[in-house]
Amino acid sequence: MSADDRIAKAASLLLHSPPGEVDDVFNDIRGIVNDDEALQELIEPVLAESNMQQFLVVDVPDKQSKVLLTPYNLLDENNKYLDPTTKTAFTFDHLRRIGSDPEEYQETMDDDDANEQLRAELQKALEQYVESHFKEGFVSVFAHEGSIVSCIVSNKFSPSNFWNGSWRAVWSFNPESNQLNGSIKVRVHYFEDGNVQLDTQSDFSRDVETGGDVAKKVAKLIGQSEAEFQQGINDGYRQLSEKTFKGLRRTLPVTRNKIDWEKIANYKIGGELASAEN
Amino acid sequence: MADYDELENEQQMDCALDLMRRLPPQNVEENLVTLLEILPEMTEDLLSSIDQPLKIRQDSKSGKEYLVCDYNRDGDSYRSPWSNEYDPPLADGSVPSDRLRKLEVAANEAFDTYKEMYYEGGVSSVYLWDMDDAFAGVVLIKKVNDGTVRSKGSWDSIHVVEVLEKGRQARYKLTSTVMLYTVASAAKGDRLNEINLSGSLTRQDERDLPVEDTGAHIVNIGRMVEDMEFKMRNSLQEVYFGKTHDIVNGLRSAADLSEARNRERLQRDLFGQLKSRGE
Repeated sequence: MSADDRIAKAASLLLHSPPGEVDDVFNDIRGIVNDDEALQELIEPVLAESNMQQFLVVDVPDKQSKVLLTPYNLLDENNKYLDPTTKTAFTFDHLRRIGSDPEEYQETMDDDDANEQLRAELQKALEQYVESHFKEGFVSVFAHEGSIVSCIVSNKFSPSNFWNGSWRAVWSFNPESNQLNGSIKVRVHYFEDGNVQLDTQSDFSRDVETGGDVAKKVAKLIGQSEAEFQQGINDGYRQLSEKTFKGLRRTLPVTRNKIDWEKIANYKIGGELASAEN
Repeated sequence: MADYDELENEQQMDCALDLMRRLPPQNVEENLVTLLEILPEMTEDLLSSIDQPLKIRQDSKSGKEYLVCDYNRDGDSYRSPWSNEYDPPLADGSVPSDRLRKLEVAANEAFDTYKEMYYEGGVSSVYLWDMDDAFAGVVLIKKVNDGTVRSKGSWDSIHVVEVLEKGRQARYKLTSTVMLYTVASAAKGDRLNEINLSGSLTRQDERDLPVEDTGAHIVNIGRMVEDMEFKMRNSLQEVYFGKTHDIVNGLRSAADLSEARNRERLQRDLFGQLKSRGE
């Protein structure tokens, strides 16, 4: 493998960072590669992909607004993103994590006006939902290729206690087919004297009733599906703890006492060891 | 220049080990392969420092199973604790001294019993090797539970012990790692839920214990390993099924938070009113 390939391979490891640990993983990669110049050239697009994967929440420059960075509000190959709430397009520096050059974004196609209204209503409805179920959650809703895509993120970072976690959901509603497709991903990392990680994901496909307050119906369905997913996680933990884990190793032998090692050492192999003494 | 290289290697190793503590343990084998591709000059060091899930092999002579890891590897061959031979065969593969081999045979028998009593199945292997003024060893245990459709798991114990003999006493230094992989799946209608909860924990222990005869090593190491696994089983239970579960439920509240917030606000208002009345 050439030196360049090796550096590219190292850089790609960033995409597997646990939530809240991109900087730590980046420092490890720097230490391993030991060539900041070469790494700098390759790392920016990887950082961009990582930030969008993690639904990084950023301040929109010059506006009192925050927005998620996702593939759904990426406007071009030069790290330009859209905040639909304030209709602002801005450039984002993934290395320094700062937005700049805000400008008004009026480029909406005519037949998207109905979608824009739905998008704004769904944004309001989901903000209510997120406030009710996520202590530090955030949601951004985008009009993307004819669908309305909602992105929800909830992070909890506690590195001084050796753990981090994140909940990420993407919900795509197609107003023509009335179908709602979603994917929820949860990742938890515990790393005190070890490395333990929870990785779980679920995909959903639901039909939304036509007519009436569509935004409200979509938001309600999202809330219901996420609640089901969380219940599924609880059920899964019960199964793993009470069946799987218990089936691997007993707490104590059937005798309910610890092992009598003197007995085992003498009984089973007395002969072997006696000859070792001579 | 040698010093600079050494420092650079040390830094790279520290970063590699830190990386292994952060990358998903679900992909621990691929992670190691990637590190070997990025740092091929550090292959031997990486292989001996990074724990991997144990693989099971069969002794061609006795048909008995044994576990393989870096500790019983020489080149591309692995030594069986039953036959003391390498597979594929090696003309002069490294083996323990005669005295140590006798202890190794005894240890394998003892830990086979231990394994049966706690794991009711699975495979165990013990490998010993000579050191200057001391000897060291590794006790390996692997148990796989993939009986049900709904879930499966595997437990890998890697206990490395260093023994410094001082007359009729010995100092035992134990470093233990337990790798625990658990996966639950539930296919319900249009959803395919898979919960993968996996990883490892590491602990250490050190004891000075009397050694009246060679057999005492087995008793001493046996008790240390047993006590260690007792503690670690509890830690694994707490961390896996307690702590990580709590973290998930902290990410999203099943109950509606607005009710709790309304209650808090009401309490604050009430407290405020009572306070102003008292003044």
